[in-house]
Amino acid sequence: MSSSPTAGLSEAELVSASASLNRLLDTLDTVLFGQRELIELVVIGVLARGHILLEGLPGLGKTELVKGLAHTLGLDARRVQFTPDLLPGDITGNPILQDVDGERRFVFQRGPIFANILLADEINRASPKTQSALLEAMQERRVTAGGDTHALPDPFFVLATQNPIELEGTYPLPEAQLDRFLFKVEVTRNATEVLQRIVLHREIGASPVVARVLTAEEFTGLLAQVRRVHVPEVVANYIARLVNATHPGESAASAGVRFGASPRAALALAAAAKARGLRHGRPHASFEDVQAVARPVLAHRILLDHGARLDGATTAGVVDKLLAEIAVQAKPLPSSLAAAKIS
Amino acid sequence: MTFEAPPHFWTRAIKGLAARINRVSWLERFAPVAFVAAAVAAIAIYGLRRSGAGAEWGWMMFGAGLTAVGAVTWWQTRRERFSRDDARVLLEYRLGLDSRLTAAELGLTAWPRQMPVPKDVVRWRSRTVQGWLAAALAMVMAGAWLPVPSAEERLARPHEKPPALVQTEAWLEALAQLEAVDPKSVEPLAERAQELARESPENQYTHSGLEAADALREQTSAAMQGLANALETAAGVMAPLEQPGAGLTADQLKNIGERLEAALRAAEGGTLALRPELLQACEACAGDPKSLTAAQAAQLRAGLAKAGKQIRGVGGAALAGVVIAEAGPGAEAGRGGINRGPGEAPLTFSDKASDAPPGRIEAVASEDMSRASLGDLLGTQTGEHEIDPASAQGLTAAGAPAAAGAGGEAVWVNRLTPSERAALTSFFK
Repeated sequence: MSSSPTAGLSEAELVSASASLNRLLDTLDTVLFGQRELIELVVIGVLARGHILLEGLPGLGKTELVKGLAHTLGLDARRVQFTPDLLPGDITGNPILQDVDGERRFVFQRGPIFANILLADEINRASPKTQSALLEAMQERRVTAGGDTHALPDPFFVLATQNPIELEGTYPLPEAQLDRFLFKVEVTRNATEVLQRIVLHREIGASPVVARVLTAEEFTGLLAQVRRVHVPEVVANYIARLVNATHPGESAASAGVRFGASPRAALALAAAAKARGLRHGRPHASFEDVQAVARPVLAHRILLDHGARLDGATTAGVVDKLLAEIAVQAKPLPSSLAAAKIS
Repeated sequence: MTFEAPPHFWTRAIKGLAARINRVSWLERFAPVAFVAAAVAAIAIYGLRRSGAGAEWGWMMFGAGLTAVGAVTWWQTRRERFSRDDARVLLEYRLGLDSRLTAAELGLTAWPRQMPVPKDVVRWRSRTVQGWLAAALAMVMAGAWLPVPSAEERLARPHEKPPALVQTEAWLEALAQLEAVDPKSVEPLAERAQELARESPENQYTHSGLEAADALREQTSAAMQGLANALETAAGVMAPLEQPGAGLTADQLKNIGERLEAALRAAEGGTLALRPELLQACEACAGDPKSLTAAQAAQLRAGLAKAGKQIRGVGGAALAGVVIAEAGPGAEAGRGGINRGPGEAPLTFSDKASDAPPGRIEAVASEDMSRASLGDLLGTQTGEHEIDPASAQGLTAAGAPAAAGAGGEAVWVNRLTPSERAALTSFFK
């Protein structure tokens, strides 16, 4: 789990990465007003090479954020509007019979998935068959069609959106597919001040002008640096205990949980923590990094039982309780000692 | 704030935090056990002080025990002890250092700049542990400083005998000094009283001990009453003899002799007996009433009446409510005596004569109900029948019990003295 300290990042690399990421975040701030936390999570998710599921009501700027991200990173982005009649081939591509050098052969016609960023809008409106076509692409970063395997561009991210209302005629994502998303982020509505700013600086039908902040190579370099961020053993231990505690009977917080998080969740936590570490200019991941990304990483990977759901429990609430229950150090404090966060 | 080199500063802070946590962890286990050890030691120290031996051994044992308890609980907490890693993680997390101490330890970054480490990174909030320790200290202090009563004070501890026993002893002492009562007849009762008095104070106040004292008192009271009745009866019978020239017929003399004889038999049959000299004089008179002159008869009668009154005087209030009918009009033989009718005699055992007309059934009432106890009378007496007219039930069907038990029959076992009960218990074991 933990990378070698010898592969640590130099001070110059950290300063440069931190500056680049700050520029990126500031630019995205001009795309989506008042959602700094959401933007940070999305950037961290992308840095961790993860796929992100954005859930929120229509009109909150989800699609705009993804388009802005693709533009600022200088990456190739495609958008697919998922509908019930969308077929897998419409995304991955289809073999088409063509004349090639006087011969009629099937030539694979690449679908929209062959891009650095795939914006899967309203992903829950597509049929399960189409949704599952994304599985291999998301996990293996390749597509198999007509017996041939086609590698997807590097980097490759799926940024999907879904609408929590108008559930009629939708197909909720299966757990297996949910597990492949690094983050599930809820996009919340804006405050009054933010709405005022939007009214003053935006017009309907006019996309915001976004400057390119990073080249594709610079961004790929950042991705490589994230991999070199060190996860200390104590932090890895904390991640393991946290993920283990999501399972029924492993902690008090997991009461009402039917299924806990998978090992993939632990890997996702570590990757996201490393990305956050780099974003804050550190060569290592910290406990605070893990805690900051725990909710978007774990909440959609925990399945509650019916009783807990009837009682109004939420997976996000379970994660919050877990963070309060599981101490960062391996051994619990004596019961008569209380520790206070001092900062 | 200190100005040491950061690595040393942080290393020392981490070590200090680990030591502090481990101390608390150990104290949590040590405190309750220390309280138990302190309680035992306090009892031992107090006991040693009370017995007059030096308490040094108690202190030494307490010290050794406390050391052993400390060592064992320290060993028990070995798995819970915070390592340096645990303490470092806790410290950097509580200080919001983003794991920089861990990274510095791994050589990834420089040590963070030194900063004041607040004392309340961990805060001891438990009153329980403090409570255990304070209670342990209080126990030891109590064992060491509680005043110990001196040996004299312990020996001179006042002891009150049961009131019934005290009263009985007083009666027996007074009876032994009376001229009319044979001291030998008092001895068995006195021995029983001594036997009860020899019992430990705890035994004297057990249920059976109190019952035994009450029974002895009742027995003594009944014996005194029986003897007093017999003496007064004898005195009443002898009344005609003291009149000079009474001209009693042979039958009347015989009757006097027989009644005197019956009274003497009653006196002999009781627990208490007359002095042999007095008994002999009475027997001589009973054998031949004419053998005494009127003066002698008057002297003897006066002596008997006085003895009866003295015995009643000894009994005091216990016997005051039971006074036999005094010789009065109609008591003379052949002139309407109470057992020869016709005649009149008060149908009451109290001083106050009943105004009920003859033949009227009147129940005997006890004036002091607290002293009334069914079946508490122990002993027999020989004498005339004491007919209770109130018990007459009239005609009853054949086979029906004339007087069914109405409850209150005393359980005989409670009448035994403690030593008798012990003997029975060992016999039937």
